[in-house]
Amino acid sequence: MELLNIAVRNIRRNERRSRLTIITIVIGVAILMNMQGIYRGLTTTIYGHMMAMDTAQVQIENATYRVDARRLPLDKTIDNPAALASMIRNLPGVKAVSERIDASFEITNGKEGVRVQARGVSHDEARVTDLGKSIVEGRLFAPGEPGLVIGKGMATKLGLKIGDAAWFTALDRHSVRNLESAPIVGIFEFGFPLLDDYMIYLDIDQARQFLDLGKVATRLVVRGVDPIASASLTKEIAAAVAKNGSATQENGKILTVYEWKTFAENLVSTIETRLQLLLSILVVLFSLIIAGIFNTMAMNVQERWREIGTLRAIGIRRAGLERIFLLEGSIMGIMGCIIAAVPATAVGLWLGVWGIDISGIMPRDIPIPFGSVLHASYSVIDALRAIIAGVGAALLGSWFPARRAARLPIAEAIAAVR
Amino acid sequence: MIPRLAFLSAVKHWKRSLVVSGAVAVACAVMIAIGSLLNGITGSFYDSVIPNSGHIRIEDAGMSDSLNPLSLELLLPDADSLVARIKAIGDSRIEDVEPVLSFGALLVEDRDDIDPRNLAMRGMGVSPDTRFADNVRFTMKEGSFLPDGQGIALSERAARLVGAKLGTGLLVLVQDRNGEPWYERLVVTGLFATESSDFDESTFYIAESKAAAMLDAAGMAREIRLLLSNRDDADSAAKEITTAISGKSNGSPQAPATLRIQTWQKINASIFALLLFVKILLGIIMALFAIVSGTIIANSSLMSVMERIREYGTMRAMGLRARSLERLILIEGLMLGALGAALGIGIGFVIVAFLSKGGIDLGGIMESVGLSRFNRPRLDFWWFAFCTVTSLIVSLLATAKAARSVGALGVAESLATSS
Repeated sequence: MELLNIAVRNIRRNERRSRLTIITIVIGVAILMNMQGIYRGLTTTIYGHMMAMDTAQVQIENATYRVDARRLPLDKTIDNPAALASMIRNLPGVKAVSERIDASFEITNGKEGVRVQARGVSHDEARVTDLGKSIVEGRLFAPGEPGLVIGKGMATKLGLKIGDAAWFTALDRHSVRNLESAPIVGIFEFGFPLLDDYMIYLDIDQARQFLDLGKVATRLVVRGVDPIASASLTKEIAAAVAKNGSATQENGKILTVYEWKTFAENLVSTIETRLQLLLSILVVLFSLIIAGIFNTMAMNVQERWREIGTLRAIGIRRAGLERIFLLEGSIMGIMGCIIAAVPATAVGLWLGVWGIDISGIMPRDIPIPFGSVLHASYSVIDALRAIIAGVGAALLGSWFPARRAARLPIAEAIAAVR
Repeated sequence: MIPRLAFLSAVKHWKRSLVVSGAVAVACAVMIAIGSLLNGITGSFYDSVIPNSGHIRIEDAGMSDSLNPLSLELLLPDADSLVARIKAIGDSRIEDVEPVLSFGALLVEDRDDIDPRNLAMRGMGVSPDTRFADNVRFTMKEGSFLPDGQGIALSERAARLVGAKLGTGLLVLVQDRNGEPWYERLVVTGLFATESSDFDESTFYIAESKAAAMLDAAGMAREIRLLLSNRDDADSAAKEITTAISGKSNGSPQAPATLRIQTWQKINASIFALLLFVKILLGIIMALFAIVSGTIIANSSLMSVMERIREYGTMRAMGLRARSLERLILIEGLMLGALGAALGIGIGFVIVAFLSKGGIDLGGIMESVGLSRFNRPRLDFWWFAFCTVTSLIVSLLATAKAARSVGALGVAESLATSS
């Protein structure tokens, strides 16, 4: 307790110096606290939207599909997708499984045509992604029903309405061009132009028939019960597919199970690069803060040589003396964290509750599904991490000067002219 | 005399000087690194302007609302005569004018197989010596770019997807302006590999004359691109072109209603907005570094000054004026700031040189917005100068408080201080 009093007294004695040191800690801790929340909010929003709109959590493909994925091949398919889906559906942690066929179509209103990605989906698609929730007009087609669900952007630009007939054309599995028409039964809006303008959905059996594909699918998509545990779900499904999946395939086809990130590689790599840059910047910032604290404490020790000598002479041990300086550092660290909590909480509340409306800031054609409002997402761990970093930086900065103080010979310290 | 005293004082307290200079150096190096990174992103954007759009682009006015950017309904019907009229202006700012005919096509593997591979792509019909495809011309891996206007140039990635090699044939399927299907077997005469996988997997090049023949679009073009000797002249050049092609020489120029004339700034407005967002974020980070460094410098200066109050009292007693004392402290701070800035520039230079070697992978989204995925930070003299001046200003401001505190103390008060 006595040591604590000495430490507090010394902090108060050099108020201006202590204040400046605390300011650096406040800045570092506040930045760290908020950066984590902003980063988590950003990734949760973007990743969540990506899974909900397009990728779901896990996908299963023919092992040779990925390397040619850009051309949406129809010759690298999954056999007996219904049996495989049924097997996966029974795994623990799996909420829904949908069969898909992806192909390149051209859709036309009779006057103007546009190349789009067509997605034949089974009736479980609405449970795997948010397609069902995103329908703003009409409805999703019933199983086996001929009909198209198109994006709002496409509907507006092609002037198509519910009930209108749209013509679509594509090369089938044998590169034969087929042409067919179907009514528009639904219009969706994800708020993501890449999908709203260039994606159409149709029933998987209709797609199979049109593309002469028999009973195959180009992929299975899976949604888990836990929306965050994609990696573990991928592992479980991969193990199950490795064990029983080959039995469902003909001619020794091998299947591969991917986590959703594979299908949003551009997005994920971009965000993860930003995280690495951010981490590097934070490391440099905290190094600077540690250097500042080190400087303050080193000066502190130098200024108080005679006092240190006296304290040692009246019986305070080396460890005790070391503790005084470490306590000083810790107190400044803790005070820094407490003060930092005020602006960090204010910013956190603002970003967490109201968020930033970025719909007017972000260009519409940027291929990142930000959504319209960016919310930060905070957790207790963020605060703990920031507190540990703040106090840790203060302790680290104080450690060498404290050791130096403790090792000063008594006579030398008392004799010092300062 | 005073600078010498300041120098001696800085040397005497070399450890503290090192910390102050170190803080300035780190902040300066971070600013240089971040600024150069930003400079690299901006540079990559400027590099992408010419292959993506040119400095000025003339196209059909309907392109803005069209869902299909490759619709053959929206070709410029008299592109050749427009090009001739623009050339006739004789504006020395215009380096090149070219029609570009882009179109949608399906590349199909050329083999007697029941299931040939195919790939939907964007074809670019350009002049064989085009100035608007440097990203491709300078990254040819095999063959050359449309030699004598013959064949097809596509990326190695696309070639692999459709099973093509240099010298092999490839079927190019299109629908002409009348909606009739048409195909030609073209020999692969060049394989390129740019840094953008998106671009490589979506774009191929053939001669503009060949594209026009296949699409039944002789004399037509999707767009006319202009290359200027100075991109900053885009606005004024666009106005002049508008006047020339609308046939008006007086009053406010008005482009014909069927045309849209855009400068590179307008065409790339989205990227500008994104760059602004990135600049603001990086600006905030740099400001925070400046604040943290400033507090460290202020703290160190304050401690250094407070420790020497008696010494300063003695100097004042010997006749040194309060203002001179303040100047001494400020000069010491400035010296340490200058040393830190010099160190920071050195460190920043090494960091930038290291990062420039392989480039920083900023992720695939950069490609999607037309920028290079690999950012190579670029050095800029003016940014170095700005960082140096900012470092000195931060050092001066941070020392000013300490200098004022000591200057305000009386001689007796200073001498009576026990530190």
